[in-house]
Amino acid sequence: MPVLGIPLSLDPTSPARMQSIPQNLMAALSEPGAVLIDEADARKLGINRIGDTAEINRQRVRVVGFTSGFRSSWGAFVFASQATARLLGDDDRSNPLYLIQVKDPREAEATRDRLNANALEAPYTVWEKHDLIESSEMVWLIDSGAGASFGFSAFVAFLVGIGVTSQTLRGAVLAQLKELASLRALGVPASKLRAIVVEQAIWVGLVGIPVMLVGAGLVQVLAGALKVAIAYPWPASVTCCLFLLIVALLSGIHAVRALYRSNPTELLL
Amino acid sequence: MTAQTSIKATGLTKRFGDGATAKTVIDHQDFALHAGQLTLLMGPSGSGKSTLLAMVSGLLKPDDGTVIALGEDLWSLSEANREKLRLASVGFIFQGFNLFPALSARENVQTVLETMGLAPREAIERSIAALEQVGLGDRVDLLPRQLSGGEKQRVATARALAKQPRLLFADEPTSALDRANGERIADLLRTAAHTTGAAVLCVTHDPRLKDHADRQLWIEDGRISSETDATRQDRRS
Ligand SMILES: Nc1ncnc2c1ncn2[C@@H]1O[C@H](COP(=O)(O)OP(=O)(O)O)[C@@H](O)[C@H]1O
Ligand SMILES: [Mg+2]
Repeated sequence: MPVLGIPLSLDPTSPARMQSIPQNLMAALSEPGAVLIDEADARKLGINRIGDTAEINRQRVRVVGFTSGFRSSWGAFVFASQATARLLGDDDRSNPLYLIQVKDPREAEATRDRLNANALEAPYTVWEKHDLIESSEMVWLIDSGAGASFGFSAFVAFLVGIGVTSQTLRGAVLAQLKELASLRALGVPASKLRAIVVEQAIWVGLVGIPVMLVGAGLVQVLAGALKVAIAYPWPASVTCCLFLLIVALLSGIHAVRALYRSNPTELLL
Repeated sequence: MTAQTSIKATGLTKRFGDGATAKTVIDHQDFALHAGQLTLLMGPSGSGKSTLLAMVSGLLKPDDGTVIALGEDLWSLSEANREKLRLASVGFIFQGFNLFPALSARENVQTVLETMGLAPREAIERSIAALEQVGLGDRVDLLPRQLSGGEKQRVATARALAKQPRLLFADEPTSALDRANGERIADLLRTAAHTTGAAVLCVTHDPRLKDHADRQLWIEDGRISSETDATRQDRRS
């Protein structure tokens, strides 16, 4: 079984420390053969409780605790001390990853640029923290198949949302076509009829957004229960809300056209 | 009768369909409507009453003929100007009351008044006055679904009257109502004609209304005839 190692530190002051793993769990790793796995992967790995043992590359390891929020979408994360990791077959001593902390954070970019300028002979790249986060997010979202299929299903869900919103509003307008037609007969101009419909659309949207937020909250609770890490970045959420409002407005305006295509006498008399 | 003529239509013609299925519903008819009167146009279902009302009120373009309404050649006006004329001077009442279900009685009346450019306060006052006029002074804040059919039609009547229109059109306003409520609406229309000087046209197949009108017309097979024949026929049968 191939093992890909990523060096982390048990030292709480090290830049390579794991902030999301409690200190006592990290301390428990100092025992040889001790590992941590994520609670979401436990069943997949046949682990039922703390203290269960398993074999990795013919080496016996003991699970001393569970992390949470590290569900992996391919294999499984196994946290171990470097000593234990070496036993598990990380023979390749050339360590591909280094974590460097710059004393003065304002120097970070300059340091990165200087190091990268020297990278001609030995091929390496230095990233700043948020660049690395962003580029690995992009790799997952765009280059990996998982990201593409996730994005596509989100897009489909979005289209369904737009469809539901516009059809709801269209239905609302068609349901009161006679009322609108009688205002039209009374000489109320199209602009005012549109304003009436748009006002209703805004109400539909304003009521819809809290409903949507409650729904998103429930999904998050459900995901938490299933140990799936989930986040709603606010720029995406705000964009979705705005988009739904715009769709509500446009479909309201569009639905008013049905009024002007119809013969008022057929609607009214 | 020396009443002022509010609408004068000549040679009115309307056909529906074309080719073999073409049907002339109104065939070169003349028609007049006088100020301060309730004119009742009666005829069997399908005789062309609604079609005639729609043509003389600016809702449906005739295939032939002219309509002079309040001195304007109605069908030579642009759509926008016809709309303006309707907003300023025309009220409508329909068989289905066509009130917005989410708006109170007062708000249903008020919406139209605000569109006419009235300030909100004036629109509210006039809406309440119009609802009082139709006997709904104690019902102004109720929603349509909290009102009976007769009350809903009175709200629709108030909506039409609040505009203080010079022309008022009602198409089968009593068909969904019982006798007492139907007669009440007819009396409201007649009183409005007398007190405001509006020209009121009510079309109906409901013979119960004939004694409530100032003038009666009969329509059958696309032809309009004056009251005498129709009422005489009616009395005999
Ligand atoms: N839009 C239309 N298309 C085709 N035929 C119509 C249309 N409107 C009315 N008609 C026909 O014209 C005739 C008169 O209709 P209408 O004016 O509604 O009569 P009334 O109101 O007296 O019942 C009927 O035969 C009806 O079928
Ligand atoms: Mg009719």
